[in-house]
Amino acid sequence: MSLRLYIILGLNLFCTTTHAVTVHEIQYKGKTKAYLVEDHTYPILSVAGKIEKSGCLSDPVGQEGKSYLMMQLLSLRFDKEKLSYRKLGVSSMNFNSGRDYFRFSFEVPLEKSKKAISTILQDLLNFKPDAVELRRSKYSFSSAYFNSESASPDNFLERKWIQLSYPHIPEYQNYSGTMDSIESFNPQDFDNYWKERLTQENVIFSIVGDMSPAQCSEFIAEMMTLLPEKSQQPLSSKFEILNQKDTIEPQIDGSVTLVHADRPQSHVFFGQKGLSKLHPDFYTLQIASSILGQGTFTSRLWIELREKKGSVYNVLTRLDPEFNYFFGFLSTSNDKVAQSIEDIRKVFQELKTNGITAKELEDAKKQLIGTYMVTLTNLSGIANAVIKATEEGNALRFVEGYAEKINQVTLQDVNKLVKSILDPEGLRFVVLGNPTSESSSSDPLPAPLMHS
Amino acid sequence: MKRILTLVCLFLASSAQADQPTSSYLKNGLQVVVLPNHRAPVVSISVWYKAGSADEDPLKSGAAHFLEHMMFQGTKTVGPGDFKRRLASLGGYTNAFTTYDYTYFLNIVAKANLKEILKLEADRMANLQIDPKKFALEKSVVLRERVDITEDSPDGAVAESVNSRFFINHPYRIPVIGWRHEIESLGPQDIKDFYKKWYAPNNAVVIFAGDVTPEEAISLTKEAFGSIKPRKVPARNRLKDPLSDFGTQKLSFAHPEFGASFAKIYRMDIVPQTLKYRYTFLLLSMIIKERLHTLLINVQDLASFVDVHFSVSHLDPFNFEIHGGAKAANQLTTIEALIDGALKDLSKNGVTPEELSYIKELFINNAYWTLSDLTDVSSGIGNDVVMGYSLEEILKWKEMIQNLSVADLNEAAEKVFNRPSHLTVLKQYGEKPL
Repeated sequence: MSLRLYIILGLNLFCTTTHAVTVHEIQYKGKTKAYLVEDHTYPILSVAGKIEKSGCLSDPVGQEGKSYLMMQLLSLRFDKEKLSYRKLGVSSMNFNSGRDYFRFSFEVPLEKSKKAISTILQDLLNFKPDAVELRRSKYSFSSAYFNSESASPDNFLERKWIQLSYPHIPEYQNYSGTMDSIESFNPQDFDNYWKERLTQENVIFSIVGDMSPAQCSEFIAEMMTLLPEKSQQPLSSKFEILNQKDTIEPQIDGSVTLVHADRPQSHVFFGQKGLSKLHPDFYTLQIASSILGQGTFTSRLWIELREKKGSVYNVLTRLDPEFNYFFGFLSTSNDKVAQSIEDIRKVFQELKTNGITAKELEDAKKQLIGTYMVTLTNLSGIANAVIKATEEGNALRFVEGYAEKINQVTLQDVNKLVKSILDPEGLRFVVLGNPTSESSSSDPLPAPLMHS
Repeated sequence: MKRILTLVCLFLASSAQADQPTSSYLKNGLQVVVLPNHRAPVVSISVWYKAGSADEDPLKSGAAHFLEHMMFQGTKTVGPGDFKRRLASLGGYTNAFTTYDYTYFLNIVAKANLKEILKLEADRMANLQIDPKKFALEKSVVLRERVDITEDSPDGAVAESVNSRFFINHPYRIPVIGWRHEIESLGPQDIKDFYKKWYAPNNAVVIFAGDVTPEEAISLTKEAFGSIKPRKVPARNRLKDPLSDFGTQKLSFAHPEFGASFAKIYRMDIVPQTLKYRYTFLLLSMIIKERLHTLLINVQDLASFVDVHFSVSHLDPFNFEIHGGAKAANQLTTIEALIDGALKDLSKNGVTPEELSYIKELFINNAYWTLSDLTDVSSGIGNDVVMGYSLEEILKWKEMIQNLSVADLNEAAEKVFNRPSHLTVLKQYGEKPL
């Protein structure tokens, strides 16, 4: 394709060369609508996409769980049509609704890429579930989700923790749906789901594979013409919470809530205030979390609770950049719950008081950057990493940008932040299991204790 | 001679284009395979030993897998906790796998950590320390793993039982993890013996995939592994099964956790172990899967899933397996008859040119995805290299697939499926295990 043709099509092409990975920015009608990483080794493409400011928080009141139910419907439909998508060369399709975003990714051969992706996009825009599909999806969603207490205790506890910690944010309470909201859906409720979301304005693509920037511009232009220009009303103006969420904080009070279940071991979820991904100290907190509980074999919580005390099977901490909390979870025998809770508060307090060492900082940086690189072993991994980097405006330098953000954190930064942000006494715990006391004279859990 | 040839290839490759896959050998016999891809600063490094559970001495089942566990328990200079900590501190991914025929250690790390991971791998190739206390602790972990995968897993228990009947004399009759009573009686010396016998540089392959040039990879491997002395490694003389047409046999299992499912298992010892037959049966397995999916799921609506496996990771002839789940228990007999009919039709009328061409396209497309993934390509190419194929022949996969004809597939299908020698395994719900 000649340069002249780009101008005729109204396309602009920019290329930013970086040391590690070259990412091309692809524009459509003057706006960046895709990023491309070239890999011409094999004639294949991984196409990832993201619709920002959507996801569960764009489910209307009374229709909570709509986005998650949509995932079930899509997985059922695409499974049913597997053989016909395979004929188009589609070797993988993934749809993922987050709390405030929607992501998808496809793997297609270059030769059939236009046909395959345009078919998928059109199928999405015209998607209408029939009554049988909806009934089956409701059933599998409900049984997987509302029974997750037994199937996935950590997810169950996280939802419980969110309910308890955000009483002031009604949108967070049932963001993933309730039995009633799921039951209430009719097939026509899904009519405009994709037309409202999958628009030229909302979507951004990331492509990795055997395509030149020129081919990619042409490809994106063709895909864009299939999509509505914009939705009637932007989701973020319809759902104010999507704009407010970066400043919302959880309310914690140091309580321990027990959800009683007769299980051979107890699961414990704990959390406190975290930071939004856009906060300047986000990566400083990421390093603190890594030292506290991110690294198996190396973190302070692992060494204290697993190696020294032998009281837990695993213990991990993570940041949630969507609802801005800092959390951890562990599983332990029922007689070690109280001790584990005490130990976690102690490890948090120790970090808050004395900070970290230079060696810990150096190791954490190495580990975080190393962990990030492991996500880049295939085309889809790279496509997804670029899409995630768009959230921080970092797509063009996603690899070095990440490394720089980690590397620029100093010892003083971490020690100042942990002093102000860590709240050992305030940590809210939620326990699922049947905790017992180690000795019959002490209470099974430290007060205050609420039963749920 | 082989060594000289590959070095010539390496030279040609590096002078023509630095990014071509290469294979070469260090002076101590360690094979180094490099599959460069510079799209992101990450590298997969795997170390493969040509020894697996089928190479164990009599009464020592489980030694190969036990050794794989002990490889994480420290060396003469690095303590057990430190070894795991050093691996974890790199932030990479580390895992290890033991099969009947080989054992490998897979690491994925940022390019910056390449040197460090190679140092750790070389250290455990040469200086493994088997501390009796650690050995005793690890034995409970291994026995626990055995419980998880067989004693507490009805499917695993059936697989173990089926293999022990299917192979009469060949070591594939013994589970990779080992028999419980033999694991219990293993001592530290047994693990040391297996290590000394097989874990030598001249019996190993290091595979690099990712952001590294052949020159860098070879020079780093030389630096880390170059001083390890080669040792004489014994020939892999294994017991063989008699070639037998044992007729069709049926085994039934019942368990409270079973839904109704079936498996048909065919012996592959009638077919030569060559790359051509390997690709032929891979294509056949995809065609059979496609046909049975259409028949049993789309048309008859009897099965909940259909899967067809042909193993390419066994040194000696293994199985061709068809698995499926029935929607209702009383339909197993109907399903079995339909599968028999489909296979009879295949061995009598063969495949059509249209389906062969579609399946080739599907195969090639799938292969591109495997080859472009640093984990999958290391595992795939590593498997083929330790099976004894040269990198050159492995890289001609596409040409070999394209050259396969309808007649090639029909001849192979006739050989295997038109023979009264297979095993049917039925699993059904039952209140008590049977």
